[in-house]
Amino acid sequence: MNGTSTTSRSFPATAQALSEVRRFLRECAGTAGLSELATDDLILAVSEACANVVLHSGSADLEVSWRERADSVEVLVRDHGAFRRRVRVPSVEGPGGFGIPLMTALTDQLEREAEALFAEIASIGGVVRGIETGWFQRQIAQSAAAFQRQVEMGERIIVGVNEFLSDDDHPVEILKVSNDAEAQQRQQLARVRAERDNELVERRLEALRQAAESDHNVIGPMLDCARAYCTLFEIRHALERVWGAYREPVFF
Amino acid sequence: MLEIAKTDDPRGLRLVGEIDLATVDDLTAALEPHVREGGDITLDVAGVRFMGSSGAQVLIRALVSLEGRGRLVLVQPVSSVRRLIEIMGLDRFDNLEVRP
Repeated sequence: MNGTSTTSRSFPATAQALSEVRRFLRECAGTAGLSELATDDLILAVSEACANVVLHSGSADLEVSWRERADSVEVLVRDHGAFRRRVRVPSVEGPGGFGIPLMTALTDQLEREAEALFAEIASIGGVVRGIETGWFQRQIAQSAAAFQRQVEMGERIIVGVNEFLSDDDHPVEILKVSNDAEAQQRQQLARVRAERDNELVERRLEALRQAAESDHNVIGPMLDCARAYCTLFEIRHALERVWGAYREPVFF
Repeated sequence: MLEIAKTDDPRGLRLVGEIDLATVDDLTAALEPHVREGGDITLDVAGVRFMGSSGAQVLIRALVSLEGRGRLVLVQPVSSVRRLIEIMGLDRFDNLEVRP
């Protein structure tokens, strides 16, 4: 427990749910023995954060976590929206009015960018040619590099990664697969190979190879192979003998 | 939930409940004819348990619109509402009166 306890609750990201969020916070604050002033301030701050989720995130729900330590309380508000850093001068004229034109502009821009990409794919000779020449691989590598650069330069904000960091590290349990899993799998495979009808296996693999050579549909023979307990590798190998194997070209 | 009742003496509204995103449109609609008419508007907010920035924004809009034509009188705001008024600087409006 190391002196902390966490209570989380999910709410729909709607204006009507804000009242529920505040009631939840008041319960938590009561249990924690917070002063009235601290409780009021905390409720106002978190309520405003949740109102922003409702107004701006596009998320269907939000999660509020109350994390309590010996001398402090931390409240996390999580949503499933996209983060946008946007600074707007508050106006007396009232909220809103900017969202829709902004989204329209953004989606128009997205569509134009997609159209430009399609045109480029056509100009290099289509998708298959693009795969063969490594065009797609290069695009993905460049896009990943650009993303990483933006994150490290602080041009792209990821909450909790390069901005708005929490000063304490919350340990996350990592799934570890033991080496026994491999030994177990090998044992099972050996048992299947020993117990199956190996003559039938050979016949089915040969039928698959012939189907591949003769331009017939190979799905039926592949299913027959599986029913005879051919392994995935054996099925792959039968096809590879006829067609060869695909090697991904490496281009950067 | 926000209950809104019209009051004639003094002229204004009695509010009971919470002023947030869910209820702020109702408050705006109820306040609008009074603001248009001008003069002093009394808001009995003793029963308002919560008010967020959306509520404060409605008050600011009313105060700006009423400038030189009338005042907004808030009667018996609870401590959290008084605090919001301070933090958001509403008390700098000359035509806002807060009655404890």
